[in-house]
Amino acid sequence: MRSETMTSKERLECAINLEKPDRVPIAILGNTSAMAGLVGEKYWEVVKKGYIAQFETELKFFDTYGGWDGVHAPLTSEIYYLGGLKVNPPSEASPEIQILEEELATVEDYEIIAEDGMNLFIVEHLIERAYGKDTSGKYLKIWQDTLVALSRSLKEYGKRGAHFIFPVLLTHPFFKLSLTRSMIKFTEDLYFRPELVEKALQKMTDELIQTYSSMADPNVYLTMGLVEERAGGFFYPMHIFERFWWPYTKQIINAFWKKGIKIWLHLDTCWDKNMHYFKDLPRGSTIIDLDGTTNIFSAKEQLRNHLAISSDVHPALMSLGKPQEVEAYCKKLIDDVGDDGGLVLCTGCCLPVATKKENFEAMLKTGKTYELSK
Amino acid sequence: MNVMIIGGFLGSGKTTLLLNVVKKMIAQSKKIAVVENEIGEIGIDGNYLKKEGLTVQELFGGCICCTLTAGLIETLQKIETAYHPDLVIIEATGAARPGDIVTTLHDDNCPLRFESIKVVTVVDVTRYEMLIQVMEPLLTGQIQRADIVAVNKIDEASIKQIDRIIECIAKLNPSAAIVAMSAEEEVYTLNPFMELL
Repeated sequence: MRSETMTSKERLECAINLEKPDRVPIAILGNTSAMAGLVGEKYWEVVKKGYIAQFETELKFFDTYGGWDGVHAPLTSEIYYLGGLKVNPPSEASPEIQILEEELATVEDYEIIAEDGMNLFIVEHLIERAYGKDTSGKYLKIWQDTLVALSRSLKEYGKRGAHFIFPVLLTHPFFKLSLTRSMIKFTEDLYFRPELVEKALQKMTDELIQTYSSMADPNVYLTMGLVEERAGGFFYPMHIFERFWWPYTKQIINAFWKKGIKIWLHLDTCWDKNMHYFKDLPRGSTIIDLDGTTNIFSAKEQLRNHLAISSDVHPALMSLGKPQEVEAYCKKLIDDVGDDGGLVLCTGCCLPVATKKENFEAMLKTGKTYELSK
Repeated sequence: MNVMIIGGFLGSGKTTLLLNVVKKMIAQSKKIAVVENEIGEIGIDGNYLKKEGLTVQELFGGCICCTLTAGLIETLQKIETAYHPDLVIIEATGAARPGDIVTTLHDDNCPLRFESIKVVTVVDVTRYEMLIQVMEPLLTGQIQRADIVAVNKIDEASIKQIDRIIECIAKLNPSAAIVAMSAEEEVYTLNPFMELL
């Protein structure tokens, strides 16, 4: 078997730049809940110890399985708190973090968001509506812990040779409004009060660019994460996508691109109908991260030599499949999607809580050895 | 295992219909388990159902792609082992297509075997014409794999509107039985749902 000739950062950078690395880079996306389960810890007990403890669990997970190339900061329940999203506290019966979607923002709030931005709206209204008044300084404490964990993550994963794929996984303005208004109300808003929605979307887009494009140093991070779970053709027709999602997405991607930062675009549900739009983005500006429901092979043909793809060892395969099926699927991804580079072998969506240890090991082993042993 | 999946967009009246089906099944001394999977607030009173002798499992798991695969199978396995119910009713999240759940349950890797899997999709007649314009792919997807489409809230719509919507639904899914009802006002017959089982 050949030896590796690249560092994790070089490998990721090479794939993202649509070139062929020494072997496919591997990145794992997931909530701490799934990682805790895979190292025999009870997540609902780890959560009680706070954000730093969850970071320690993720590090243990990384070490237990021998590491991989691309990592990210812990996605914990505290992160949802900072975003003003209400979550179901993890428990033995329900170990996963679950967003409890409620109508936390009203129609009137669109004007406030359009005027002041979402960040201030979260601090002044949303957190209190979701969790009650913060009398104990919880908000500041979480921010402090987050920054400590981010700094320690950079240091610890750096020592282990892994590379941070993005510093933050941002929520797309469309998705954020859908979560805060609730999907049902937001969908009604798209029909009954589209101009209000557009005003808020534009303000949030400007704010997102302004706040985070300065934070993303291309010398440190390869990409900035952006998540969208609801705007795809699975839910909405193209006229909604074209009016309420695509223009704002292009603004975000182009703004970061001008600063040398690519967007890691995490797209849940099926985006088959939307895929051809992404050909309009600047070459190499975006990594299309799919969850296993979009046809990744068709996406590759449409985006070949234009945008990199990360994905999609999907939740059903990870949890219900057999190791040999995981291995076969990873090989197919490497051969068909990564044949000319441009592939990051990644979990489809996130690592599910019910991931089988042997399946996860099969994914890592195939990614690390398949091409080198050819 | 026998499964009935009740799907339909958020707020369409799935929970009300579920409660009515459950009451009728309990009256027939059937052993029922309910799997709840909603992205919003839980609309069903789990304690009430438990008092009625039902097994209620809440299905959480982050986003729908993760929840509706491994999480669902795991939950059904637990139910089968512990309770051996005559029927499991899955109230699917309004953001999912029930047909995708059927696909998951029929997957070769699913360790469970099913005698029957039936899909009921509830449609809110008062919002259908708005939703079909802004959310056509999801709505269509929910209707197309249904065995029964329950056109709900007919007490809040005109006959003309109801007829128009039933005609649209029949075009989308010609093989489905279409039942007009008002679950809230108890204007319906449960016979089609019971016959489905």
